[in-house]
Amino acid sequence: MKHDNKYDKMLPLYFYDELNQAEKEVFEKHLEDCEKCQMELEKMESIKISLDTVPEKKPTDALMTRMNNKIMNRIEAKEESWVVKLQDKFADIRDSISMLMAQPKYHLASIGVALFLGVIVGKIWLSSNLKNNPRMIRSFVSNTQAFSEEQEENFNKAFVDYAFKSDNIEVGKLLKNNKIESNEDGIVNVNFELKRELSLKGGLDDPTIQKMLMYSAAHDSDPDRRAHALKLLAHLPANQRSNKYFAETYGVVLLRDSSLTNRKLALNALEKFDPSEKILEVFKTAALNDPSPQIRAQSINYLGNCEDSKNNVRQVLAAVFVRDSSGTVKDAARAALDKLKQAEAKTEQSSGE
Amino acid sequence: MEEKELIKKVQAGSKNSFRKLTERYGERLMCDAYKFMKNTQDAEDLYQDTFIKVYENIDSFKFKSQFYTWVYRIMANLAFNKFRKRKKMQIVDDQDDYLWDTLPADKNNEPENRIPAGQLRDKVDEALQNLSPRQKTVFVMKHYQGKKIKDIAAILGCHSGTVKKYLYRATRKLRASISTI
Repeated sequence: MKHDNKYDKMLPLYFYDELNQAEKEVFEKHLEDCEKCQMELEKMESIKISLDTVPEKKPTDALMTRMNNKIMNRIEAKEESWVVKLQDKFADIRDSISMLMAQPKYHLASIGVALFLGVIVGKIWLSSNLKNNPRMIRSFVSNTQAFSEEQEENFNKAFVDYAFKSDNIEVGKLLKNNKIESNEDGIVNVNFELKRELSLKGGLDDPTIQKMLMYSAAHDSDPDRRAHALKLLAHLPANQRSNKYFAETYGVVLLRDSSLTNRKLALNALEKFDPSEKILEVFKTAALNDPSPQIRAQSINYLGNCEDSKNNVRQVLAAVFVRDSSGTVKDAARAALDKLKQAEAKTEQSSGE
Repeated sequence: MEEKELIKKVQAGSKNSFRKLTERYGERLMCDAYKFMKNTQDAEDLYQDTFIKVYENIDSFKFKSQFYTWVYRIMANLAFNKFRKRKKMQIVDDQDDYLWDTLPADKNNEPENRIPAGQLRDKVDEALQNLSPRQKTVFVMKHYQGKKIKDIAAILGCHSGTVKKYLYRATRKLRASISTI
């Protein structure tokens, strides 16, 4: 039978069973007499056999775990880089604002906005690809803290502008106690409230609410709001914590908050955690450095109850005992040292038996 | 947990749920990645890149197809891009990779003695390396993964006729390569 191009094209389709019944019959009829097609089909068969002798592979469970860990790490790392990207975005906005401000009618107007940075950050963060990652928002905030005064002012403007543009914020009423004043240079200060701060409603078990509270506890500018957030978080049962940053948040508050009440709240909360190395470090630092003797003493009591005698707990207690100016703290340090000693003797005794 | 629920959680930002998705589909996807790349290192890279892309684009998954089909489509396109970037497809015997199990080859399929097996394999490998990226992608999906032509067309976003053309050209090149033995 005469061979033509049509059968060439049908050949792989026949081989892979992709012809319909009618086409198949036509091709098979042709195949009976066409030596060229028979030969080509044999070649296809040889290729198939050759390829099929290469053994297939299957990943082991260990490989899958390793790969999936790598993927999660890459996602985390990528999201960190988002912070930088976001800042770039703000830089663009900032530039456009400076251009706007350069126009005569805005020339003398500088708008100071009493903004709740945390709330705005939170809203933008929630509406962006950043998703809900407290670690990232912390790093973001710590980046903004490194700004100069001028940069921060620009940044705030850019932030507010962005918030307005993206409809993330509803502008509320002007703050009653803040009049709009103009000084001799014609500089205007406008303070207003950004209203969406209360828009996040949900139970304490809501992961987003938890994150916002954690954020507020660590970063809110108002000590009362920080205290309020800490008190609310204290009501949350351990099994409802949606992420692993709780201890870290309390640690940050304990070591950094200027308010004694807040540090106490954080200390009480942190005492309920199992003593990880990180937590022990926080307690050791508080025992050595906290300005309040009460906090130092309470941290020392906690350290005295830790069975783990590694991690230099004893050295820290000894240092406190020698250095501390407060009698109460010294007593606490001595008691804690005794307690550790007794615990150790008990362990030795039981291992001796 | 239901697949749909899991995906919705990922769309809402849950990384934990995404991890569960990787655990649920990982092995299947990795096997398909190996079929594309034919060596473990490239398969591992393709696997990771695919899941990263899935995570980044999860919001665009609208539940109109099976989730795995959507994931597979992403992988096929990434594989194609990899083929395009690196002209040569590396088929290497990486049997010392202890993290992969080698499945026994089909004993009934030993090549006939007309052409020496090693020589045939070399020729076919070489020809595979010289396929164009499109031809290679189509051939891998058809031959190794047994996909139907209409499905390949849907995955690559082209007409069935185009897929047939690539398959025809790929098989013609492969056959030509063994004609010289």
